[in-house]
This record gives sequence, structure tokens and C-alpha cells, in this order.
Amino acid sequence: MIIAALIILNVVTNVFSFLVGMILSTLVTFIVVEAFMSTIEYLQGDIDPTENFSTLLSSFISGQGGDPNDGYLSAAIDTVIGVFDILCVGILAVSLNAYLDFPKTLAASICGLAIAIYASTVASGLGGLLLSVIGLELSLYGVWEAGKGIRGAPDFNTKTAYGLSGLVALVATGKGILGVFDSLQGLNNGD
Amino acid sequence: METKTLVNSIKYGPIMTWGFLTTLAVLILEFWIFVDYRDTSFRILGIIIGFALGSIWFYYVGIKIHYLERPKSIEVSDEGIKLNMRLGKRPVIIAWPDVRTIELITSFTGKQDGMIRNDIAWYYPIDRSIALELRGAYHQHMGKYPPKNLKELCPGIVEDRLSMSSSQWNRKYERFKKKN
Repeated sequence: MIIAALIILNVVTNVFSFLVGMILSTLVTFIVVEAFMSTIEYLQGDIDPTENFSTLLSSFISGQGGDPNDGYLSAAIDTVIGVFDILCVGILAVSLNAYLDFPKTLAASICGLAIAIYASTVASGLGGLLLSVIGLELSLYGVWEAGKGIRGAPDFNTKTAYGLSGLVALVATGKGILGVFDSLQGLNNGD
Repeated sequence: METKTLVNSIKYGPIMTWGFLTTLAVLILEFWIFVDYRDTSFRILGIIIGFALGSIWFYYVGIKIHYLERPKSIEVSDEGIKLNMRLGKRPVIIAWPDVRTIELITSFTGKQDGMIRNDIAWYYPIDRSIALELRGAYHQHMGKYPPKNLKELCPGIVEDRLSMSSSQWNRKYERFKKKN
């Protein structure tokens, strides 16, 4: 009973920490890439290289149905990112060291699938691309961890549990790959 | 004692079950893609991706575990056990003192099987009748029966697997890992 409760608690906590961690890591990746591109543009003689990042953020907000000129929205986004930053450092540190392997794997698969569904039904534009990438990252992580789990599981039942978790991640990975292609094509077509 | 060779059968049940489950997952993916995309090229890409991912997963959980890593035959001698693997894979030799457990297991569906371990996180599936015979041979050579599961090998090891990260667990039970 206690072990079952511990596993459920771990799945829930891991879902949360994965969402936070992956969103933050993807945002950081985008910011680093944009900073790099802006530097290149500046060196090539562009007098306002930061325009690039503003355009990116604006299209992200528009993609989610928001108004990029809304000051409250920008302030809210800054706050949310700040809170994510603080939370994810602590939560991910705990998650990687102490949390159980199987709940971590299952959480990654569930999150990957949930994000893939959200990205394909609600999000569009750059926001859709961002979410598809996050979903794909999580799903691949789910597949990878399930594979590792199957390899190291001490018995048949545990292997089966990892295998089923991997199947969920497999579906999410397939959809995630297509979602990324679809979002890229949409951006190229100016959707 | 002269060397005795025992032929290990193949269990098709788990292979077919994983084949069915993987096919089901791929069909769900394909249906999702079919509903989501009207573009033919995306649908074709979806079929290719689904087939590729499904094949890899089925190989890993179905073929590899239940066929490739199931010994073809087992040779029992005074030195220990030699597991002859399928498709020309290198045989695995386990000396009697290195045997961790020889187990009799019952699957979800009630099918009975056996397994032999030379490592706490790794095992080789064998027929139940062979497992029984190996337990007898172990008793003959070591003067006692081998542990019948991980709990008997080391009390608390399974509970710790559920309450520790894999690195912590591996470190704590390092002494039961395979000897190189």
C-alpha cells in the first residue's frame, strides 16, 4: 500500500517537474540560439539585432492566441518564467537523484503524450513548434528510459511495466516527429 | 559427472503478445495521424515512422528478450553451467559459485517458466523443467539449494529497488553483480 502510494506520488511529482524542466530548457535553448543569431547579425552590420528575438516572442504569444502588445501579458510571462526557473532547479535536482526510475519513465511518457495532443489540437505557429519539440523531447526520453528499464529490470513483471510505458511513449514519439515537421511546414508557409 | 546438454524451448506466447500490443500502439498512432492530417505526404511519412518505431520496439521487447536472449541449450558440468545462445552469440559460462538464483516463475497469464541469474539485474529465461534440474545439480555441487528468488538471495533487495534510484541500488548491491 505504502509502495503504491509512493509510486503514484512520484508519477504526479515527476509529471510536474518534467513539464517545468522541459519548458525551461527549451526556452533557454531558444534564447541561446537567438542570442547567437543576433550576435552574428550584429557582426554582419545589423543595427538592431534584438529585433529578431522580439519577433520570435511576439509570434509565440500570437500563436497561443495572445496579444503581444499587452503589457500585463508580457509581465505575466516574465513572472511565470522566473517562478519556473526557481522551481525547476530544486525539483529537477530532487527528481534526478532520489525519485524512482519507473515513475520517472511513466511520467515522461504521459507528459510527452499530453503535450503532443495539446500541440496537435490547440497550439499553432511558433508556439505549436515549441510544444511539439517539448513533447518529442519528453517522449524520446520516455522511450529511452523504458529501454533502460527493460534492460535492468529484476523480473518479468517489471520488464512488462516498462514495456507498456514505452508503448505510450512510442505513440507520442511518432506523433511528436510529425508534429515538428508539420509546425515547421506551417511556419514556412506563414501560417 | 559428464556434461549433460538440455534443450531450451522457445516461448512464442510473450513474442506474440508484444507483437499484438506493438501493432495496436502503431495502429492508434496511424489512426491519429490519419485523422489529424489531410496531406498524403504526411500520412505516408506517418506510416513510415510508425513502422520504424514499432519494429524497433518489437525487436527490443519481443524478439531480443524472448528469443535472442533465451538460451538455445544448456550444458551442465562439474565446473558450472554453459548457456549456448541463439544465432551464433557467444556462450555464457557461469561457474557454480557465481550462480545468484535459479528461479521458478509464474507469469501474468499463469504460464510457468524458469530463469537463471548470474547478476541481480540480468537473467536468462529457461524452461521450468530445466530450472528444476539445475537446482538439483547446484545442490549436488554446492551442498545446498540455490536461492529461489532475489528476496531469498538478499532480503530487502526488491523493496529497495522500488525506493531507490537505480544508481543507488546498484551501488548498494554491487557485491551481487556479475563477475568479469
